[in-house]
Amino acid sequence: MTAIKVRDLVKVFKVAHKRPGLAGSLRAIVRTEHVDVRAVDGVTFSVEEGETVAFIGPNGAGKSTTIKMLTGILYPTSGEATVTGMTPWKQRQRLSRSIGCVFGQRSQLWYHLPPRDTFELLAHVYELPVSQWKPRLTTLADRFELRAFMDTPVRKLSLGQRMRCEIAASLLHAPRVLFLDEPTVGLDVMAKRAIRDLVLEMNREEGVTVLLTSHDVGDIEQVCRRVMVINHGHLVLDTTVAALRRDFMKSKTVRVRLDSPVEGILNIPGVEVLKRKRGNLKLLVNTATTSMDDVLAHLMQLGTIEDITIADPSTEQIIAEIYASGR
Amino acid sequence: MSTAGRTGAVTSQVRFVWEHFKFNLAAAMEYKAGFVSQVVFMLLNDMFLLFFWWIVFRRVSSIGGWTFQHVIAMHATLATSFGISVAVFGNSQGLPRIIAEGQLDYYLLLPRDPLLHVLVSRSDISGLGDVAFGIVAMALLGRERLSSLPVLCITALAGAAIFTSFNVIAGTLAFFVGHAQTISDQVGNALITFSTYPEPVFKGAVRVLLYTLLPAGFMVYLPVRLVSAFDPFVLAAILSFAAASIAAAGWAFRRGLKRYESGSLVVVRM
Repeated sequence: MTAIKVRDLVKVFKVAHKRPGLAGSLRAIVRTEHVDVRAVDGVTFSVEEGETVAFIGPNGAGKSTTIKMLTGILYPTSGEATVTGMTPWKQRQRLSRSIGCVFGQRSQLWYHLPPRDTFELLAHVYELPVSQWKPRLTTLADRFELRAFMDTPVRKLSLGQRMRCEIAASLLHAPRVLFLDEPTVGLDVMAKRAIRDLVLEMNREEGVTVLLTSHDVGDIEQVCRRVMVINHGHLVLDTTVAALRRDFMKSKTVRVRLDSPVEGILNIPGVEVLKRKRGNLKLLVNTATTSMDDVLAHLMQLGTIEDITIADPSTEQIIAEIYASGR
Repeated sequence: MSTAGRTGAVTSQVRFVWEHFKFNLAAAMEYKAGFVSQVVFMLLNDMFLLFFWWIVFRRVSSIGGWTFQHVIAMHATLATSFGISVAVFGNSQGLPRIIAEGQLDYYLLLPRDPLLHVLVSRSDISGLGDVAFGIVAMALLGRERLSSLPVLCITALAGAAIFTSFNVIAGTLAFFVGHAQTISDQVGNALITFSTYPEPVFKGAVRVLLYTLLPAGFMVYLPVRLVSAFDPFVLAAILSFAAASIAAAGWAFRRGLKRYESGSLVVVRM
């Protein structure tokens, strides 16, 4: 069954255009010039129930605007969409009972009160009977390991603890679709892993459909099976995460600090030296031809590794690869 | 909707407002000293205002027929109306900022009326000081005015509805012009300022203004008339205007919502 269906969705924002400086500001008071910005420009896709889909793109690509239209926050300029069979901007209140939303930069928890209080208030907001929300909260508290800080004011929680509470809060009413907008932004490696595992668990055990936006390629690889890439309001790619990895994530960036300066020409097959300064190296590794094991073995021959970071390509690099491939 | 269904919906909304007020109160009480000082200092602030009028009325017996009793009734109604509005519907004065910064998103994601939800999600605790002053002022009216107490309470509730709706209507300008906090603050302050002076001070066009665009007349002057002499038609006029104000605020907000542009500001719920 289709959970989300979108056809030719368009959102145009009218943005005031002001010339620079005081003269520009005075001129704008007399006559304001507007330009149309097509934040989402004819997006069409559908998501089946139980799918885990990543929605990625650079800043300003139209990801959040699309999610805001699908959750009923924004009215579209044109186009059609249904989420769990309802048109979001026409049936927003009814739809809100079957969707859950987490915006990484917006908290729904009451800052000065413990998470337990927010859960209780949300139960009132959703008009959930006690017999329904109390056992549900117990289950979520166990699964998300919230018990230790359920009665601690939110302002005293770590970002990772807070985000676990945010996701649990969005699941209290047992939604069928979960929209996650940058859920791991600002989190450390361990907290990110915990959030990803929990989202996956809810998808597997309750069949919750997940639509996730993120700049972190790790979120996409570990949580989602399918990925949609949006740029300048257009959907430029809709494929599986495995295909994305195979076709467009062929490189990793390695930053390494060795205990001694690297002398002479560094010749490792499939590795391009982007920067070198004494013992510091920045390398671009073609993972299609060269394994990270080989790279590390070469580096260890050059000296003792004091520090190393291995990074996936950014979404901007992936999009550049997509355009370079002629899609 | 059937009568029973409508009653159920109203009960649900009242409970919703009450639950939020309780949570706001609990959040404010996290800082006990701040909570107590806000309430006490607002009570004292209002008492000083009444003290000023007491000095005035020691020198003049009346202002255009208004005595000190009228002024007490005026301040009792105004403080209670204002106090209920800011304590229960604490976001009404900050609505333009909330709209302009795209903070309505949270309320639009929940199965409740977003206007009511945003209004009750914040409480200005100093409003409890205003309500406390209103009760003290009503008591000051004396035993002979005791019969007016229910009328004062009803009109104070109507006044709270009018003041909140007035702020909402001014605040929804933000949907259309973007930055509207300053103009909203100014018209809100104008309404309060006009409501703190005896009605006979104002004549002609200003008087018309006070019964239309800046409805101080319905908020305080007519309730004061009711304390002097009860008139069911005046009470009906106040309640009708309050109901019309609520309807107009809801309509303006729904119209504006279609132009809402959201935003990407980092937000926490205080």
